Amino acid sequence: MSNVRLLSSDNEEFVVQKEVAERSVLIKNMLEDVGETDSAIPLPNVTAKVLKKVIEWCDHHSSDPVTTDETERRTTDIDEWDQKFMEVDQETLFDIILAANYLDIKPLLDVGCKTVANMIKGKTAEEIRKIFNIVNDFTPEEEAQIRKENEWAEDR
Amino acid sequence: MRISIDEKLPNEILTQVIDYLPPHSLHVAARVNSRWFQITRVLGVNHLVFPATLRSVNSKTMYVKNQIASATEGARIRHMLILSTSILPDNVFRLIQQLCPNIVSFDYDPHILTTDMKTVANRKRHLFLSANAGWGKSIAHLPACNHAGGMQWKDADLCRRLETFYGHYQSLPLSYWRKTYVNLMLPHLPSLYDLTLHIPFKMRETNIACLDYHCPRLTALTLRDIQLSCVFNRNAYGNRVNKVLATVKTLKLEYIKFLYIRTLDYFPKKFPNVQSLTLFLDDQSFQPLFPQLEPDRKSFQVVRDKVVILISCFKHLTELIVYVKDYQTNESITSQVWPDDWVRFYCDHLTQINQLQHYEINYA
Repeated sequence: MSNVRLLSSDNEEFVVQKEVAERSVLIKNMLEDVGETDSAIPLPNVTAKVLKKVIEWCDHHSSDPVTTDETERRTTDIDEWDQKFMEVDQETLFDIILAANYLDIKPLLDVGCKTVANMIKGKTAEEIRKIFNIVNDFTPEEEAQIRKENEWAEDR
Repeated sequence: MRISIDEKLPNEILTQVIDYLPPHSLHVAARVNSRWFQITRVLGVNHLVFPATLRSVNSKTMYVKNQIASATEGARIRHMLILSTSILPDNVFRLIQQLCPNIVSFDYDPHILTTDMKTVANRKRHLFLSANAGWGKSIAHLPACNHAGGMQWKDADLCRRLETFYGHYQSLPLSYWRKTYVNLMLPHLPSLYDLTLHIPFKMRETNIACLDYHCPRLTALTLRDIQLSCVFNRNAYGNRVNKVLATVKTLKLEYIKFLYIRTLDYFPKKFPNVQSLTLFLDDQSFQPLFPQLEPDRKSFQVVRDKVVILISCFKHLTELIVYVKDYQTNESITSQVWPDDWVRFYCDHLTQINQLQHYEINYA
């Protein structure tokens, strides 16, 4: 089985099996374009730390079937391994999501977004702002207008 | 300085995150800040807030027409939340149905802020599922309705689509077994992930067991007001007779009446992967376990031990929320059986080893 060399933004090189690397549609397309090559593929948007995590994920999921059914993709729960995998600090989690988006690894992007969604689920607006360090930029008038709605929607 | 999700994630990704939220969280997300509000708008989240000054049907109708100005705007709306201080007349609903034919989730209730969790919002099922309304083809979330009239599972398309469902006994097709136990009849609900069963009758294990194959994607289960006689059996060889419900991650037991003492330790065995547990307990919950007039200390202790098992045997618990009623009165059963000191000690311990992320114990 042939290997592929990947180069992170901070110039660290990773040697990965071709089928693992091809979980990324971006890399797959690149390999198809250039054909057999010995030179490392540069990934200027991904740091070594994040690339390592992404490769770990691809390796574990290298033989997964591809789901195309939209509703199935939406409602499928995060499996246990993925849940453990995503137990990282917020910055790393966002970096993984961004890398999955850049490398075009849809299932990993899904898992990342679902993980963030699970952190939001069931929280109040104020709690969400606190968790993700978000600035409330509503004007006092807007704020007053939605306060009543807040009481309604959040006290359930 | 911590990083902010708003600086880190571009719109397309944040949109994807918010798109995964259940309807109720979508409406909350709309209030986080203006960017989130814009994103929820794009996803078709909408609120209609009826000013209290609108009294006549005509003024309310006019208000809806002003708010949903064009057909394209109406067609875009998928999640609608109505806030009104008064009951809305049927005409106004029909107009909303006409203007917004693609509604996936719809919720309204002027009196939702009742502290008594046992009552249900004053909503009518036919508003969601009437035969001539457009929503029959789109709706995927059915909130609580107390309106009588059995819900029939004839619409195979609805069954396939349904994602959240509040099953209130007045609107569920139920049959009775030996006139005391209720039999729940569910069709195959392949997309359902959040189910509430609100049935103030006696219910047996078979009804919970059937969820396994009727609702393969069920992750959140709320059992409310049910008199449960579930027991997790093992046969003579020590093998499980009852199957576990492995998909459920969020379990809420609200004012359940435990008919047998073994019903208390049924839950951790049946739902081994629960991460979030919410309990509402009061005297009524434990009443059936004490048929004798003056229970002695030993029988209290037996129940107390089982309550400990009920809470401590969930191996993956990260969130525990408990509401204990009737605790303050000295004579109450709850104050005798609720192991408060132990639960606090246990939660503190779990918090220290970083397993439990959140716990709260409330007394009323």
